Amino acid sequence: MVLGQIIGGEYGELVVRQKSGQIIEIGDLLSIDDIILQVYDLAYGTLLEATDLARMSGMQLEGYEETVLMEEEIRNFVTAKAKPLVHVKNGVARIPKRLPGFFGTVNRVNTDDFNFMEKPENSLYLGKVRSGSTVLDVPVNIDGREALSHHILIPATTGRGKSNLVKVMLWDMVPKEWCGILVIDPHDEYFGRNEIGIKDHPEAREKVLYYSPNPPKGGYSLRVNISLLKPWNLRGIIEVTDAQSQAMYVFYNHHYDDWLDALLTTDPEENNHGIQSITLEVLQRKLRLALDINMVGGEVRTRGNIFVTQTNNDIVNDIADAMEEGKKVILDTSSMAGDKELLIAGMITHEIFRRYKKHKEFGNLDDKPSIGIVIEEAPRVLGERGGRNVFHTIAREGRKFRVGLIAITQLSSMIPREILANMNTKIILGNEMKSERDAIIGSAAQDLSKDGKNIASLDKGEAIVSSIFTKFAVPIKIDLFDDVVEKEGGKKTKLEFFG
Amino acid sequence: MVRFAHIADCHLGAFGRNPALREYNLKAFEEAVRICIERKVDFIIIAGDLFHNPHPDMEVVNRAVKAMIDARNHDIRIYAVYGSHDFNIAKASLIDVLESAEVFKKVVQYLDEEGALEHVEDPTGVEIAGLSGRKNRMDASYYLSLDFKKPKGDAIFVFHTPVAEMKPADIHESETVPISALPEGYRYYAGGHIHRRLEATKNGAPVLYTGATFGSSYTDLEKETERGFYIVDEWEPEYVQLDVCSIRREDVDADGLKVGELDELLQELSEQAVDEDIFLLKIHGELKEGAPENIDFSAIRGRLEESGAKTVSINRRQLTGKNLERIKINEESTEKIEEGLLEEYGTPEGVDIRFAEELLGILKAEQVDGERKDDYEGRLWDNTWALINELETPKSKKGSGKPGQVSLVDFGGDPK
Repeated sequence: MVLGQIIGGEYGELVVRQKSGQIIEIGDLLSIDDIILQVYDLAYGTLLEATDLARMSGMQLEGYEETVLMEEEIRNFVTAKAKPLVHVKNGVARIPKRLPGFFGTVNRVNTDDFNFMEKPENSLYLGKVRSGSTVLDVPVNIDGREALSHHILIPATTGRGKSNLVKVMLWDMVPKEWCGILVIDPHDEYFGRNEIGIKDHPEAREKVLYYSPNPPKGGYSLRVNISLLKPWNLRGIIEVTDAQSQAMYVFYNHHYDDWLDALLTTDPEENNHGIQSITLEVLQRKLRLALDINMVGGEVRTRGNIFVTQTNNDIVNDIADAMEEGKKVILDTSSMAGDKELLIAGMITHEIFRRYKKHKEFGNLDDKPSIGIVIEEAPRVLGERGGRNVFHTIAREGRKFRVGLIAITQLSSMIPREILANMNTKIILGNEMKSERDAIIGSAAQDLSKDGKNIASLDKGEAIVSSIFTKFAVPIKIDLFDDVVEKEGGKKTKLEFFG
Repeated sequence: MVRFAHIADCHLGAFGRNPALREYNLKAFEEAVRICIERKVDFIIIAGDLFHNPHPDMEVVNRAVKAMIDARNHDIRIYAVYGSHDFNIAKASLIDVLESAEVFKKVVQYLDEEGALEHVEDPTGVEIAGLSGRKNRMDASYYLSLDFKKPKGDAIFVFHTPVAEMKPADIHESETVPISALPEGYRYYAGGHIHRRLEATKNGAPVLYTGATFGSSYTDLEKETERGFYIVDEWEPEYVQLDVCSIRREDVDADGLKVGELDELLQELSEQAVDEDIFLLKIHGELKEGAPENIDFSAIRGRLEESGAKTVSINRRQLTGKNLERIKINEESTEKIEEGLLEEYGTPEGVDIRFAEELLGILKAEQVDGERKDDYEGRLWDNTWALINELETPKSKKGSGKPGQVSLVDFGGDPK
């Protein structure tokens, strides 16, 4: 059905006259020739002079007889500004390099227009193609293995469906062996301890590990032996001076795994590593505070239930092992102060990153699943304050080693531009703040310079996927997680018991 | 008043190629049973891996059964679960035979209709439930799938699975269960599988691994210093050490040495008098010059034996020369090295690595004394077929392999 006609414009800014009786929305996808256009602005158009319009309006308002100068459907209309998104020729999608025919009629897209969109081998499902507010039955899958390594940014303000999107992505990834995922969950919202969540996936028992300080049945205890902590784990997490940082490394070099115990139990006045007593004293206080440590009779005692001294196991290696096996690990950090959460996340992330660097060195990186680390409020670790922490390092170098971030934020503008540009897939949800939209648009994989209004008008669950792994910035509608669970959850097989 | 023993990981029949170690292993079990009789326990819990393989040497079986019958004659009941080594995927394993002969009672009571686990009640009134271990932790999912019936009174849960929170950092287990997955309401959790004494609690009740009674590998002998079991008197566990022989461990760091220097060091070591029964020599590191093959290890072994050791083990798996290809696997036991190699070089498309490991385990089974070659081959064939059936029909109730083959799901699942 004809929706309108091209009546002017230039490349990237085509003007389409809307046919009477039809409605064009911001974000609508239109098709003309082999090109798909996307509407980014709407305006009124009229054939009448301004004085005629004022006269007609005055007569109507003041109760005179209606004046008819031309047929109503001809004289006034809506114009849409549209940009070419993709040119499909012989089933191959390209960046459009020509204008569609002048005066050509445009139609609404239909599912056949997207036959060129293939499902990659290591697919990650994000949602369905959306034209304005109409959802098409065209699934949007990206090459998840590559996309994870190249980082994914999910920018949005509150209430636009970030958590729902992450749940839908995690659900899709649960059975997939090409990825190992670590989710740092400060709101304890993904596993579904008391509501539906990732735990309801049919393969969750085998593929999902849930760590919590207070685990439900089947969950693992989140307790970290402080002896696993290394000086580099504290970098960018706890604020220390250069002298204090050096002091930690001096103790590490002398005492290796016992460095923390040695540092905390050393009398600052008598230390023999050439460290100033005041430096050591302040450092001891900072570490005690950060790790909830009391000194009892000269011995280290932990008073919290996260960092402990009495556990045998090596949770950091256990989690890294699981991720290397393609499992999905969710850490409930809801009861932790921010620095402890980041400390634990940093320890695990550092270990997995270290291993993957080794895998690259040994030439077996391609046999390993890609790693994705889901981190909320990403500017905490990726902002300037984060300094040289492991998340910064991964944001800059991770893709060489197949380790990537899935960074969620309301404040993209707080993340350095260089890092934003490194995040090669952005799943952009609605955002009213112009400064935030500008930061996202300025670092997107495709030209979104005209999409400011489009992004501002995104409703809950609507998004634009801008990625180097998509042919164009794809408008999508994300499935409602509850619907996904209702459709796919509960397919539990009967237990076959041996033993 | 109740008194019981908690024993695990006896691995009777292990060290098949070393009669001295095999004998110590058997003696450790016999000693454990003797102590149980002496201490007048009401019953013995065996938390898996009583035997090192599902079809052990009959001489080993004979000794083990004699000891257990002796306990039965003293009115001591014995309860057991499968261990990962006891389990046989194709057909009944020895543990089933012994249960049929009423040497002991298996406490895995699965109610198929209800998907639930039932208890066995000892005459003392103590309820016992258990889950067997399976190779490569295929049993781990049971902990979340099963409905565990809450015990009415004092109860013991027996398991043969590594608990994640207790697993020491140096023991690699890719599949564990969290302590939260162990069923609630028991007064004692009797663990097996990890060959190290470990203690934790769940809601105040002890969760214990005894460690092995002796050990099943040279790695156990090298690393584990405690061997024994628990006697639990009025729910208070007491660890009973089993010392059936003395062990001396020598660790030689060859890193940066020339081959001649290492040889000299080993010569000096081998000329010392040895008072211990077992001498474990571990040599590791990268030689600065020369290859380990240039050292006559058999001569060193001979001298150590002449010096008094009944058995000598020289572990040089982590000793390399400069020119050797870098080894990417740092594991010490044969099983772990095989696992590493399978991970390193992969399996054919569509074949799970666990399947490959299990197949390897089947094919490694040795011909037992008196077993005809045809029977031996038939046994390997049956076991392999059963495994393939499981791969082909993982969700099916009926195996589809060799005609007449016992279906996998016919095996062991029915409540007694």
